[in-house]
Amino acid sequence: MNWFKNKTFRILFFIGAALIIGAIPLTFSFPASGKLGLFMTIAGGGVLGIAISLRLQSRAKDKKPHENNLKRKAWKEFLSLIGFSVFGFFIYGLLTYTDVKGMPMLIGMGVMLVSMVIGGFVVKRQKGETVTPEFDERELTLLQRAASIGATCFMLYAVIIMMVMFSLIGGRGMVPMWSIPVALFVGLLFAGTVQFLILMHHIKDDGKTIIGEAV
Amino acid sequence: MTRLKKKAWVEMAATGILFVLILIQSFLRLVQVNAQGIHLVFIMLFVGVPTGVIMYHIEYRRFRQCDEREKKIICKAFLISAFVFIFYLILFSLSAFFLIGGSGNIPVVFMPTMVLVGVFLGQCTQSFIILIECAKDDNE
Repeated sequence: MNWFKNKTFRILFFIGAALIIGAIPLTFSFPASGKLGLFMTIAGGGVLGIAISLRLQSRAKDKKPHENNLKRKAWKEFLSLIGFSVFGFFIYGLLTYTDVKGMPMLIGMGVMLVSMVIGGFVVKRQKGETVTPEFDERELTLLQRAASIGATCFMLYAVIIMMVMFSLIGGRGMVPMWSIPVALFVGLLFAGTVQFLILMHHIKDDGKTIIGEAV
Repeated sequence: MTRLKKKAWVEMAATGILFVLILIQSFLRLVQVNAQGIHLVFIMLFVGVPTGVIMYHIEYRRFRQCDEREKKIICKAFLISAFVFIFYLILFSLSAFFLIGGSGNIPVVFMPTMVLVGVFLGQCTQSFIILIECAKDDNE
């Protein structure tokens, strides 16, 4: 497999897999180990996610000179979304199964999310200083348009899902807590897919125009 | 007052009145009578879809009348407000998830409240961004 030729990916993949495999006996055989198994699984999933993201980014760097920037970006974002959904689903399922709750858990997750956002911001800023902008004005407009349509789809989805659930269950009913983040992430996946399809549609139109002009 | 400023204030006031005073009150009333069933979905669709289509057409016609600079500001404000809305929903649902726990239950009335407050927050953000951009232009 091409991916395993990359040394960093190989190392990160084996660390992630080892953490997850190591967590299984801890979770099922030694209940006294507390939440250690859970944290190991989350860490393993995170390491696998990082490995795949890094590999996707390095593949994107090895682009051919004639390759469309917009197409590359669309595919990259879509694959990242799919990867995030798969690993997010895995980690989320585990969190639901183990029923973790309480203020310390919330604070811990908050600290982790904030540090991830700050880390991502710093990395993006450093990259922004070194890499020249790769999109022209027209491509930026297309990107903005696709993002707007994706966001509108998400809003519509959120309102419709809320309305349907409220009406079917009834005002005084209860919903399982796990269903709300699931509905939200399905909506994000839907919006990301719509954005990807719109970008690909524009790219296809561009290809036709260029061929037409050449003829 | 410029067209953009007027739009920002009118939209914020309209959203505030519509969502906070009318829609949330209506949902609370539906909770009181414990309304449920597929007929309620159809009633909501029957009211919501034409209203949405009419609002979209009015908004689109106004948008086409704007100049390039105004269009750019509106698009930027909309994108930022959409991200605020999404971020708010993620934050709200994950906070509730970690506080209550995955196997817990939550009253269904939280869902419309969460979404409607999110839409109101998004609209406020959009209006504030438009007003800030207008103020920047005035200063220049």
